[in-house]
Amino acid sequence: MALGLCLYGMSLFHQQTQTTDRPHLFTEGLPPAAQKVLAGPFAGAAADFNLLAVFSIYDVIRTQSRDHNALWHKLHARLTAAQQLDPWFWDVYRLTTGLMAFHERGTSAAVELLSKGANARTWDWEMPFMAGFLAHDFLHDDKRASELMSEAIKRPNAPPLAVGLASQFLQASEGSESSIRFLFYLRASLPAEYRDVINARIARLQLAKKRETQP
Amino acid sequence: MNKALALAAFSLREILSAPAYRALIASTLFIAAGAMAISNLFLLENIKVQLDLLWLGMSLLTTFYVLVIAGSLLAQDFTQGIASLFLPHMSRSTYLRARVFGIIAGLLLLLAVMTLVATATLAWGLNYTPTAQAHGVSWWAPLMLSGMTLLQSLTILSIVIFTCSWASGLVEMMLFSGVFTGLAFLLPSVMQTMTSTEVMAEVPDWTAALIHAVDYLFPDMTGARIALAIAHGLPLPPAELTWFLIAQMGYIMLLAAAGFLLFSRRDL
Amino acid sequence: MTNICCSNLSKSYQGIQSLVATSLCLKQGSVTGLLGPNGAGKSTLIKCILGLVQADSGSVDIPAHVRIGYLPELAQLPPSVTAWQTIRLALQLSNKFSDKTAPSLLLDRVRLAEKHWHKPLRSFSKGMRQRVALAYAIAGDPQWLILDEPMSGLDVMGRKQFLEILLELNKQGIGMLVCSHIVTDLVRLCERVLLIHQGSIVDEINITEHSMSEAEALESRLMQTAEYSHE
Repeated sequence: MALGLCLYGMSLFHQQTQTTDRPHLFTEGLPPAAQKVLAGPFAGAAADFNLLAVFSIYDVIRTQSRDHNALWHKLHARLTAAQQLDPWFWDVYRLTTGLMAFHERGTSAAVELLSKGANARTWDWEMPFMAGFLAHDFLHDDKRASELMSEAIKRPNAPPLAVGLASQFLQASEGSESSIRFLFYLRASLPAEYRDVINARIARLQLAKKRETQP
Repeated sequence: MNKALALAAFSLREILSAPAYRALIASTLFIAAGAMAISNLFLLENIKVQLDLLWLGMSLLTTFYVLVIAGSLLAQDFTQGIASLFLPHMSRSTYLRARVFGIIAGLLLLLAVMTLVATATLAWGLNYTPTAQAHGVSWWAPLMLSGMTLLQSLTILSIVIFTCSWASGLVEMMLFSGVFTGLAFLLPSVMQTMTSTEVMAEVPDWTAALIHAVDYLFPDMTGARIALAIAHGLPLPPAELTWFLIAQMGYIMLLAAAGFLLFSRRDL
Repeated sequence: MTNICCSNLSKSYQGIQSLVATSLCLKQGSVTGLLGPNGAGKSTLIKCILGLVQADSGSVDIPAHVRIGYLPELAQLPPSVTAWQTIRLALQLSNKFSDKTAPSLLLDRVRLAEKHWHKPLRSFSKGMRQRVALAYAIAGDPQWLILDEPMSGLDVMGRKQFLEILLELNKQGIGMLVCSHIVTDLVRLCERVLLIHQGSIVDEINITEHSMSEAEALESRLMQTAEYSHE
C-alpha cells in the first residue's frame, strides 16, 4: 500500500509536461475520499504529493499560452484533496491564496477552502482573515466577510494590524487602500515565482485608485 | 547461555547477514536525502513535509523488513523444515518466542538507525528554516515517529506470526500476510468514510448497524492523525493517543497469542 | 535402555490416510531402514516419532533422557549464516559449547574442508549442506539419529563419503532410523529394513551380508509390494 502510494506520488511528480489531453485521473488525481482511503497512515505525505502536483500544474499554466480553464480546475481539485488529507497544512492555504484566490473563477472556491482551513487551524488568525478579505473584496459578500473577520480577530495571536484592517475592510469607503496594503503583506510571504497573480491584482487596484483620485 | 537467548542471538545474526537487511540499512540514507530534497520544494512547512516523508520512509522500510525478511524467515522455518533443527532442543513456544525476539531485535536496530538519520535530517532542516515556520516541532519528533512505526511494525509482525501459524506454503504465507496488512491499514479509512453521516443516511438500518459493528471491531490502527500532529508540531490529542495505544497493543497481543496457539498444534 | 517404540500410529491429511496403525520398535545402537515409494508414509512416521507431526491416534514411547539428532529431508539450513555459526548454535542448544574449537571438531568429523567453515551456507553445494546438517544433528551427542532421505540428490562420491561417515557414527554406538527409497544405500547401512507401503509396514527384512544380491532381492520385494497393491 505504502509502495503504491509512493509510486502514485512519483507519477504525480512527473506530470509537469503533461497537457490537458491526458486522462483526468493522472493530473486531477483520485477523488479526495479515495485518496484518503488509499493513503491510510500516510495522509500527510499524500497531501504533500498533491501539492507537488499543484506546483507542476501551475508550471504548465505559466509556461503554456492557451486556454487554462481545465488546468485551473485540476489545480483546485489537487488543493481540495490536499486540504482534506491534511487540514492543518499551511502551504495548502498559502497556495490557495496565492494562486487561486485572485483568479476569475477561483475566489469562491478559495474562500471555501480557507474557511475549512480556519476551522482546522483553530489557533491561526490568517485563515479566517484571508477568507474574510476575499469574501469582502471579490465576492462582495459582506455578511460572510464580517463573520470570518470577526472570527479572525477573536483568535489569540491576531496582531493589531489584522484588527485595524478588519474594521477598515468592513467600511466600504476604505476598501481599495486597505486591500492594497493587505495584498502587499500577502505578497511578501510568497516566493517570487508565485507572486504574478497578486502583482496583477495590486496593479489593477492601484490603477482603479488612480482613476478615482483623478478629476 | 540460555537456549532461547542463543536462538534469538542466532536469529539476529541471520537477519544482519542477509543482503536484504543491509540494503534496508543503506536505504535509510536515500530516504533522508529524498526527504531533504523534496521538502525544499515547499513554501512554508518544509519541516512538516520532511517529517511526513521520513515517517513514510520509516514505515516502508519496516513494513518491508517485517513482511519480507521476517516473514520469509518464519515461512522458511515452517515450510522447509528449518524449525525442526531447533525443536528437538526446546518447546515450540520457546522456539517461536526466541525467533520473534531475534526479529524484534533486528527491527529495533533498523529503527535506531532510521531515528538517528531522521534526527540528523531534522537538525539540518531546522537549521535552514525560520523559527516561526518550525513552531512547535520538537527534537523528539523522529523518536515519536519511530515509536509509532515500532507499534505499526509489531502489528504487522503479529499478523505475520498469525498467518504463518496456519498457512501451508511459503507463497500462501507471504500473500496472506501482505493482504491482511493491507487490510489492517486500509480498512480504518474505509470505515471512516462509510460511517460518515452522508453514507449512514443513505443505507438501511441493518446495514448501518453492520457497518458500525465492523467499525468497532477494527478500530483505527493507522494513527494517521497522530502522525500528522507530530509532523505539524501540534500537541498530541491525549484521548486519541491512549485509545490508539490500547487498541494497537490489544490487537498485537490477541493476534500473537492466536498465532502461538495455532503454531503449537500445527504439523511441521 | 534407550529403545524407541511406537504403537498404532495413525495420521491422515485432509481425509487421505498417511499412516495406518503403524507400530515399530528400535533397539539401542541398531540401524533400521524405512523403505517405500514416494508418499508411502516414511516421512510422516519419522515426524510422528519426533513430535513434529501430531498423530491422530497411537503413542510414541521415548525415554526422557534419550537424545535424538535429526537430519531433515533436503537439509534446509539458514542460508545467510556460516557453517561454523550454525554448529556453534547446535552446541549451545545442547549445552555442549565449551570453547571455540568445539564447532571445528564437529565440522572436521563430517569431513567438511576448513576453507568452507566461515562461508555463508547459501554458497554451499547440496552435499556440503548435508554434511553441515549431519554435524548439527550429532552436536548434541545423540544416542539416536533419525535421517530422512539423507543421501537423495548426492552424487556418487558424495553418497559414498556420507555413507562412510554414517557407518563410522554407528560404530561409535549411535543407533539410526534411516528413511530412503534408494535400496542400495539401505542395504549397505542397515541391519534390517522395514518395507512401508500406503501408510503401513508390510514387511521386515533382515540384512546380513550387505551385498548387491541382497539389494536386488530387496528391490524385487519392494516392486512386488507396489504391484500387488496396484492390482
